[in-house]
Amino acid sequence: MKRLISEGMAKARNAKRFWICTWILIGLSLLQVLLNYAVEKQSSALDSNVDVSSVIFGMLGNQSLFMAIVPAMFVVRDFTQNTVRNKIICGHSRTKIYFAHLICFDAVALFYHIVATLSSLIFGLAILGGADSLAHGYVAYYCVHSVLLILAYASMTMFICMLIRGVSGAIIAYVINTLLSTFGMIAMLALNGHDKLVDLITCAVLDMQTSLLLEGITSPGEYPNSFMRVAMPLFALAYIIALPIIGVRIFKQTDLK
Amino acid sequence: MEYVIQTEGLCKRYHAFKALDSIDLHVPKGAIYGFVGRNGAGKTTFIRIITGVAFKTEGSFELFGVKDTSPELDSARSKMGAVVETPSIYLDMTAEDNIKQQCRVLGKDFSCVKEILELVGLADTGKKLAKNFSLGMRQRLGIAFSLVSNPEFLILDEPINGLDPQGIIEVRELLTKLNQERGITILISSHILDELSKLATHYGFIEQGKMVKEMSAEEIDHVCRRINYLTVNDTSLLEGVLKEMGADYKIISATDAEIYSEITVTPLVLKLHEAGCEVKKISERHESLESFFINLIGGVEK
Repeated sequence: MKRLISEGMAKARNAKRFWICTWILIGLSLLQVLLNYAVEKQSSALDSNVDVSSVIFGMLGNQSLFMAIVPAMFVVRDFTQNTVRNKIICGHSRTKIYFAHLICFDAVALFYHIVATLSSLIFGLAILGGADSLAHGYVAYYCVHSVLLILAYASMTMFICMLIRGVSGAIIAYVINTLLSTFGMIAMLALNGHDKLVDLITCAVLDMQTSLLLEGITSPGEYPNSFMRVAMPLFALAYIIALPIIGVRIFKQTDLK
Repeated sequence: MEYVIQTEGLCKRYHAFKALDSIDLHVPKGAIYGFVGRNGAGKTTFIRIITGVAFKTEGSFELFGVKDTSPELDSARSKMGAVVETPSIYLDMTAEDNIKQQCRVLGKDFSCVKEILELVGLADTGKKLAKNFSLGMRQRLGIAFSLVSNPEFLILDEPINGLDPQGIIEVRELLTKLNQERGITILISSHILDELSKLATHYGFIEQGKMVKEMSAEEIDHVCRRINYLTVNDTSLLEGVLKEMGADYKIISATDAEIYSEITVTPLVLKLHEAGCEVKKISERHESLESFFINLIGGVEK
């Protein structure tokens, strides 16, 4: 599997679009800091509270889009150009191929997450300030949670890309995340009053977890509640573990082109 | 005889449709095995099963003596290279980068890259991306891809499809070289029989998912009859002479006839001269692999 991972990572390193997206992410991080700065300037009279904590994970909301576009291309390309055949023909098992793809996908997604978070942190500290707003014990929790969310998004996108085996797979993965979020909202409205069920839906939908994380970092200790703090990472872990297991089972029984 | 691959009752069903129906195939070590069949006969399906790209429904096969149910099958596959249908290459990479990617997949260093590219005649493509290659170049790059693992067995699915005459000659020469110099056993599927007859040492004929016959090139040569065409002034006189000689023949018209048995021309002509029969034309033709195949499957359309 080491060989397959090395091949996948080389493909990513040598791809122009990988580096273009890295620079776009840095640019977008700067842009969101500048926008926050502009908002703060406009509403300074209203005692707004914009600082680095408002932007540090700000790019997380766009990560599912970036993840659907870029790392998926490395995976999907293996199916669309049929190069996955070369790996099967020369004796690599489908389980190894799936996990090698997933590990490369995770690595690229984490790289983007680190780039976005560090850029937001550096630009945020330089322009918005407020380093003390991050001096609370929850920051480590949110860092771990954000990594789990990224890996869960990656597992989901990889799973759908493997099922669809075409460029549309990456787009469908993004659309599914959005749809899940929409249906989750509808279900939460329908279940108004059943707090536990509403919490479970929030945990089960990755986009909702992301929203909570973004809210939580600016108001630590208030939200999410302690049940959610445990349940959200567990649900993310369930995505990370369950989807590859199901994905491999399907991949091992699928006829390729 | 040692077989690189042998199958027994191999079947593949897509719902009610039987793409492969109980295929028994044997590829001897060191052979160039021509897998002959019309479009849709099941050649590619068979190759996809052997290469692990698709799964069989029934039956079994052995690759290098390893059963398809054995966990060792993946390592047996590492001794195999294949180009299935269109070459599987990275279109946005150069030939060299493509081969380097395959080296990474196989955990090999890049020392073989130059040699392989030279072998397939792509050493001077420089920074040209594979998407700008001609069909022949892509085909050769596909073969180069399959050679990185230093295979003992090469499977090529329609390797000369769509190639120009020069490309066909280049691929043919390459395959002959690989077989003779490196001892690589090759299975080529094709429906371009004239080209296949210049390469193959063994044949397997498939039709509508069924294996019709397996033969060696020698057996085919023996079976493909040599026919002498004669044009004379009077075939009734010719018939008398041929009967006397015990020849196998067929009178086609008042002036034309076909002789199927082996004959020596000079005594025949002398005897015809004595009988007062004037020979206007003699020509000889070998029944081609194509006509043999058509006869075997029972006509052009079934």
